[in-house]
Amino acid sequence: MAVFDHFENMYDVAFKPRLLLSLIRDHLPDDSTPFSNPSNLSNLLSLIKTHSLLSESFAQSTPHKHAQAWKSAFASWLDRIYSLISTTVPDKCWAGISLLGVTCEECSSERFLESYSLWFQKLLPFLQSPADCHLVRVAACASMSDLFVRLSGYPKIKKDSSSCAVKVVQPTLKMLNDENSEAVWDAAVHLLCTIITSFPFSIRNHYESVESAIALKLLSGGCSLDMLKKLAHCLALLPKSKGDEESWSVMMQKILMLINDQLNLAFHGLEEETMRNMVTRLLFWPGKHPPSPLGGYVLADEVRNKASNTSEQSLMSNVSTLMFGCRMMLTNSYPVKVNVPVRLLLALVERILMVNGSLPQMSLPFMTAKQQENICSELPVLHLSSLELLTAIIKAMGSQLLPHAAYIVRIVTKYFKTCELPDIRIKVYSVAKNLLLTMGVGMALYLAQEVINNAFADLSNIEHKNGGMLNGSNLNASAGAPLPPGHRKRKHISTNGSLQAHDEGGGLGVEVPKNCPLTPISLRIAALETLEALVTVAGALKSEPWRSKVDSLLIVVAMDSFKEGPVSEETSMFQQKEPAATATDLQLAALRALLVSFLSFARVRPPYLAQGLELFRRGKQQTGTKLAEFCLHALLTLEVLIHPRALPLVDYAYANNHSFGEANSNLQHEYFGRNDHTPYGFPQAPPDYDDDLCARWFENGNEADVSLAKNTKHTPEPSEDCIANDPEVLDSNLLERAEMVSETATCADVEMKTVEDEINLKSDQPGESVVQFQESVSCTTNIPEAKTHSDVADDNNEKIVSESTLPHNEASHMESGQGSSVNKDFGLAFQSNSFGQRTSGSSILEEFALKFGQDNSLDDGDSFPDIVDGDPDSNSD
Amino acid sequence: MQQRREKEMVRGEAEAVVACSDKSMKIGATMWDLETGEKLLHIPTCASPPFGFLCLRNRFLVASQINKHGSIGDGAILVWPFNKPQQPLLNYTVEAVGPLCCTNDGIYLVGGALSGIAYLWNVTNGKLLKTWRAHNKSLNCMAFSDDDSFLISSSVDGTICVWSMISLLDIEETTSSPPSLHCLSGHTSSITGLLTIPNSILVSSSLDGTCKVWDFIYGRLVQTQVYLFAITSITLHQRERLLFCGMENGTIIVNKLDIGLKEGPSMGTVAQPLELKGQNGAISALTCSRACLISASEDCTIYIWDIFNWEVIHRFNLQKGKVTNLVIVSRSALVSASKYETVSNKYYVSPLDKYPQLINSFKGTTTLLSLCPLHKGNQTCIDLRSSDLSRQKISSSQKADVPMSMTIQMKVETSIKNHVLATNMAEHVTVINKQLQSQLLNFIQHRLLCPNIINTHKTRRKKLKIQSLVREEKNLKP
Repeated sequence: MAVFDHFENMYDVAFKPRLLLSLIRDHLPDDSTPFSNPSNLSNLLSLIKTHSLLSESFAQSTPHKHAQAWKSAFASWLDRIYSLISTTVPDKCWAGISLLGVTCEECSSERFLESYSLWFQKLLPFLQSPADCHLVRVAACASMSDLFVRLSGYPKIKKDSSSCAVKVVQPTLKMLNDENSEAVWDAAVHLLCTIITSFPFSIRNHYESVESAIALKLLSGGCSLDMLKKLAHCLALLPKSKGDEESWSVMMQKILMLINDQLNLAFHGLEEETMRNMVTRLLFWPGKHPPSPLGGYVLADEVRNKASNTSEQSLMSNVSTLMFGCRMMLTNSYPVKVNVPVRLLLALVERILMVNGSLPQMSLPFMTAKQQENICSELPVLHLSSLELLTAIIKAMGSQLLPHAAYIVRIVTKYFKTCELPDIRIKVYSVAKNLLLTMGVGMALYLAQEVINNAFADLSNIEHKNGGMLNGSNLNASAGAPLPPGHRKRKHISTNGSLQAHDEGGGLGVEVPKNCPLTPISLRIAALETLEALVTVAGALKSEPWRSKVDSLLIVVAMDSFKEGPVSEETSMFQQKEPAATATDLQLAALRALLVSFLSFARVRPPYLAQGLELFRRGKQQTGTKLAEFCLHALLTLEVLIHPRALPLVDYAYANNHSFGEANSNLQHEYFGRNDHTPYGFPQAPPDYDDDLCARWFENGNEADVSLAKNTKHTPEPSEDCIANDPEVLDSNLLERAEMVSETATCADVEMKTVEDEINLKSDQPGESVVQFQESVSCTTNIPEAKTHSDVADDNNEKIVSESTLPHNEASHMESGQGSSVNKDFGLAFQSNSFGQRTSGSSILEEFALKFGQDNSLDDGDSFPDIVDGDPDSNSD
Repeated sequence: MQQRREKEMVRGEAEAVVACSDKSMKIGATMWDLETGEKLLHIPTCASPPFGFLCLRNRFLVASQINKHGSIGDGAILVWPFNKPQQPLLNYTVEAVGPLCCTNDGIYLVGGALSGIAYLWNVTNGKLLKTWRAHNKSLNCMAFSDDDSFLISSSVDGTICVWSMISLLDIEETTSSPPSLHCLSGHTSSITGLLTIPNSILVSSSLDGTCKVWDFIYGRLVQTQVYLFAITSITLHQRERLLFCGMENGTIIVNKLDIGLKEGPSMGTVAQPLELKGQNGAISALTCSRACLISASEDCTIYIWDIFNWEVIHRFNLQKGKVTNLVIVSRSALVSASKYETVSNKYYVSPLDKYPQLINSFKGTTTLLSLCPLHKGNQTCIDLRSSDLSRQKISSSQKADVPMSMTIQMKVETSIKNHVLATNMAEHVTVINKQLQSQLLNFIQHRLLCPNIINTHKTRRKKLKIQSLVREEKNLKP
């Protein structure tokens, strides 16, 4: 290798063998040189992986010279590794074994197939000989499992590789039994898991011994929690090695029996006999011989003796670990279908959840306070793991859980009322969420009230501080009330004319109470997520009394989350590694729930849309955060809600033979069919004024938007349109009943609403809206004067009216949750022209109405056609 | 051009329609490709009443059969896997089942009997989970809500019942007539169609010439559409909300389904809607695919309409049979079924139980579950492991020799009845035994009590004697 033998760039093949050789030279320890620094090794590994130095992959066109160079470099790499392995110095040996593992992962297929058996032979002695130090054995296990993982990718050599696997099982078990270092156990269990998943049948002959070895470790105690989990995982995988239904069921039953035994000991005197008896009855089927206990009888006896002496603590941790095992068995895939003893699992969960550490009267004399203390200290962990088990059951069973759904609902509702610890509540929320998402509206009917009560308790600890805003959220608000009292109250204020009162709300019209977070953030997030799930599935429960309460709660929480200053990050007590939740997460959860609550309004306008949009806009400003990402998405989604696109009836992918024009005319027939001019006059019920936006947009199509655009430009075109259409409209409409008029009035209404949206988006200043409101009064009175049959004036006039009333609308609308009612009344006002009499249901517009009525009476009557003239609906052609 | 090609690519799977008749077993079910009109498959020996034919998870065709000979009186439900349509799975039911309905995930299957009793099975393990009286009159149509949490059933007397699946399947609720969530009454004649739409909307049609829109969770009537003729069938283009009503006189009326109404029932009258004419007999079945409307009529014809220009694309004829059912299936099911057996089977259909488990006691219930998530599985299989009995059934039905298998079934049935009888007898005997035993015990007690009194007397005397003896001894000692 010449000194100036340059290569092209870092992708050049020539570079790789070069680098590999120099790495071997510089970083790898030698027979003679001592092992300098382990950190060198990690550096070496990262270089090998980034440049894939061991892959020996090159294009066909690569010069033979380079290929050869790489091959020889690889050979020298292997030579060095072999020599390292054969040394007696433990750390060099360790390095060699580890690097062999890396080679197994990284090398090319040809190379691997060629030499895997050799490598296997190199590694095997380390598993068998007990003399080596732990370090070496752990490395050997890890490398061996790398080897097997790679081997499982080649089904062609399955026979060979399973025979290799069989050879490994025995020494691994021996290691598990004899050694007493947890690191070795860990590595051995890892290797066992790899073999079970990759070559399940190779372990079949050792099934019992593997089971007893693991059970022994699991039950004898003295392992760390992580280790216990790994053991339980391995135990849960074990039935795969047989792969039949029977072994799965037996394993499940063995685990459950063991749990039952331990619980019997732990809960002695703490629970009612009936529960215990029920579980036992479910566990042992009459007439069926129960399987031998986990790990055989001898072990079971040992464990039992030991357990009666050991503290409750280890009992509890055993139970949690075993329940983790159950969970793994449920969630891991399994090749055949199996019988899951759902009823038994649920009974077990219920049994644990029902024990809260209180002593029944009769067992008071038999238990000391110390014993009670011990139990109670461990109960939360147990409750947590049983709730996790419940979640796993729900997830794994899906809709097959339906026969047990009612039972679960009973458990959950009962437990929800009593549980208090935040971490447990989070889990209960997640159970409720999963239930809702799996079972749909039917479940929402059962669970809604409980979820809402709890979510309100967790989310609105603010409301106790200043009881203004969330009055409507009182948990026991009368179910029959059409609107929560809070809404009515605020609407009342606005109708009294004290518009300045709204300024308190920080420009958004809603009073936001000062927040003082008492509940942990993660709990609040869990509550929000559950509410989100509830609203998602229960869109159909639109007229449920809780719905408006939830909506107002969500907007308040979302607005609140924007106000919070930097909140110190919170750490969960069960996962200390990373902060469980931050204020940003809360914000995100709140906005998520808010978006869902907007979207799930099927037929009414979301009451807090304006404020929500404002929040999403503000969130969007925080560029680079997850929040901004979500807010962008939310705004995109809501765009369809704000400006619904009347999409064509069918997608034109199919209508290839159609010209667009035809389709378009088709469309218009569709949309304007109700004038009875077309054969498409779809039967139409008289429109309801509280009808949702979408439906109306759908009816009116894009034309409403178009005419709006024209209107705002103050161009005469729309009125010309009116003139053009006038005779026709008159012809068709003069003889129409009042219904028709009301219909057209609604259409005007739609237009106004569109304007309103525009304004909602722009004006956030309540002051501004007040001014405009006052203007509007004068404008309204102008309407009859505009009856000069000058269409332009009429049109403009109407535009002013609609635009100017809107800010007022907005203000009251935010509060009332029924914003459209104002518009509706306004629509009625038009109608009143033709009838000369009116009674407005809403007090907001009473004064307009009065003026209106007066002016009307002064006028010459004959207003009906004029109104039709001004009717934007006739703008359509 | 390229745009068009792109659209072709995203168009999705090709669809096919399966039609069957209830007239005679010979007519069977036939499958046509919707686009080309090519005949894809013919399944003999299938005759199912209206709504008694469905496609389960796009892997199986399920049909209820009413045996018209009357000799046996039982009904049957047949299941054909797409990959082996020659080997149906024959399940016998206690009584003739008419309408069938399955959940979207294909796990639960409900059948309604002419007696008004409904049967609910878990398809994956074949267990008959619930039998209950849903209506007083014969059931004629059923539907699940879009999230499968409600079941809606209707009867020939015009009543519609809404059932919550959760309370229906509650294992601690063991009554044979669980309360329904709502009973919607309003139709005055037999129901001819039920359609569910997200957000708890139900559309029902009836022979009384009305179409009603309900909010089924609140049990409220939202809208009524009145037509001139009796409606014999309805379907909905889900995406566009186009409602097609098939009339008695062979016309199909196209409506836009507009459910914007928030409150209160309203009455809509029909003013010159779009009418599709062409077929002569009453429309007996309607269904909608992505771009076509398929209508079948009593004159044995099937028309496929383009829903853009309302032209007939294809006409099919089901030989001499009034078409009762039309089902859309995706062609990919057939294709993937033909190159099968590479992946292990993930989705099972087990033979459906005829009776609920005899050793009932919900205590021991276990639920079946295939731990591999269902949606991943694209292979189908009929689970034959459950019993030899089912295997027998299958082998016999393989020869399409239904009467033969029926006789076997009858034998089995009688033996089961005998078994039930025997167990009842045994229970009876044990009860009698117990009573006898208790009487005997009483008797013995009586007998024992009297001698006891005598005995105590005796012992007292003895004691007295002993005491006197002791005293004598004491007297002697000093």
